[in-house]
Amino acid sequence: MKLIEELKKNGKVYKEEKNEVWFIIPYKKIGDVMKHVFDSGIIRVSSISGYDNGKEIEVIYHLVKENFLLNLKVPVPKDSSEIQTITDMFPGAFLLEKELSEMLGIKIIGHPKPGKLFLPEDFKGKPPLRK
Amino acid sequence: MHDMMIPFGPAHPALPEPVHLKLFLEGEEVKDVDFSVGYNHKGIERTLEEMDFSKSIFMTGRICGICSSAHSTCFTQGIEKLLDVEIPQKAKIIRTIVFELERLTSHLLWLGMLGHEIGFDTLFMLCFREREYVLDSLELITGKRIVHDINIIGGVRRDIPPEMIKKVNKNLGILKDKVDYLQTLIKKDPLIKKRTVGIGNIDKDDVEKLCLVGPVARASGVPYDIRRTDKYLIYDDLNFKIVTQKDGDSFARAIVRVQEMFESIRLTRQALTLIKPGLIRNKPAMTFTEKEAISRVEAPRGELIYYIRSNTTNKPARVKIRTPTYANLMCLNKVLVGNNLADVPVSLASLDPCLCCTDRVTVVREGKEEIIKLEDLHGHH
Repeated sequence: MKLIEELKKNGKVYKEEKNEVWFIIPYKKIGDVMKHVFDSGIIRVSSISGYDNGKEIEVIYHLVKENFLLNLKVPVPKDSSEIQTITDMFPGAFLLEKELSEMLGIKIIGHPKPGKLFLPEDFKGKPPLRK
Repeated sequence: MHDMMIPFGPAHPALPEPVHLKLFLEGEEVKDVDFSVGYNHKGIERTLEEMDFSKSIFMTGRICGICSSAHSTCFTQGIEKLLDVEIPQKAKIIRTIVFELERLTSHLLWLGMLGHEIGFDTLFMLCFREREYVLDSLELITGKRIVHDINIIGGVRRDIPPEMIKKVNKNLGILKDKVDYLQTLIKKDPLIKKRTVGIGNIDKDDVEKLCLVGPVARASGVPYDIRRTDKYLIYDDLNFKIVTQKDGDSFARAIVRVQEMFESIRLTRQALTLIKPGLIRNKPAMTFTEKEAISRVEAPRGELIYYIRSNTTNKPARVKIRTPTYANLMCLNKVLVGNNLADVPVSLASLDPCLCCTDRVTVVREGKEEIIKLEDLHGHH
């Protein structure tokens, strides 16, 4: 697949299964990578997961086209956690990015309507899913 | 500026579940919508991190009362991927049967709610009466009417003996005639048509852009169904069609769900014929390593997706759940804007929102995070 070749230039495949590819992508490149993905015709973001592994926050985008699952893992440093929004290209990521932001304390740069989703608006304290 | 803002919810006439909508009106027409969720936090994602894998399946089954087996099948399937274990064919068949019966209960419940929304309470009563045939069958198979808990790691909990097959088939036969009647009623009744045709439209482009799922997507002509794309369980061996409609309004969504009920009856009957004597469980060695897996199923409301990560302990390191209603919340703007205020409950109900599923994440009390123990959960229902 052309897209996979393109992504290999920007990141590294760390797992490959039937109908599934898992990439690690540096967080600075996520804007460019998402543009390649979008241009290739994958327009569905099924989920965005986040995991605090102690050293950094791993943001994992799960993109879907029919039975093909493209998973892009983006490690974001814990101290200056911010990442470019993908909602401009994938409007379906709107809520997922809000949840990621409040639960793991990642600032989403360029999100059209930042704010809380599940937590109360005046919530102060450590993001609940940070370890 | 808009003329008026009407707060709709969290407790409101459309749903028994809490969601807060801010409806901005000009006259009677809805011009803009803002929504907030989170009234139903149960803290499940974090709770799962504190639980054994073997116990946590039962926890996921309790995320939602109507899509219980969708959640537990999806989670179990993910765990089996982490453990690299193949389940026996018979277990797959039994899971499929429970899954499809659950879809039937969910769609019947939804149709009843639609009837209730438009003031047609007879339809509500009819749907809930017919739903008993499915609940009886589920009780027969799993021992429970709701929250079936049929899945365990490596297979299922209970077998289906031959005499049970006969009883379930009989129930399905009666149910098919009843659903047939409901379909005629919906297609012919002028009241239902007046309240649903042309109300709450979503077009195909929006479905794809906003990543909508399930019957909402299919009613707008997008044949997105995980049963067909992923071919999980035994769906590849069964013959079924993906019901789609073109119009994308509340009526089309009703038709999609009613016709899906016929497909579910067909699927269950086919699956019942495939049952042969055999094992229902392969007991795997519960040794976990650092791994991650993604698991998808087609829940009654659409694509349900779990991201599961394990470490060397027997508890998950992270579980992220994206439920179908969560994805479909994105279309509230499209569905409600341009409608009359009086049509809001019907349009909202036509999406079949399930907020139990949507609100689950983490419990936060007095600004401090709190890890919930099982004992606490027993105390707080």
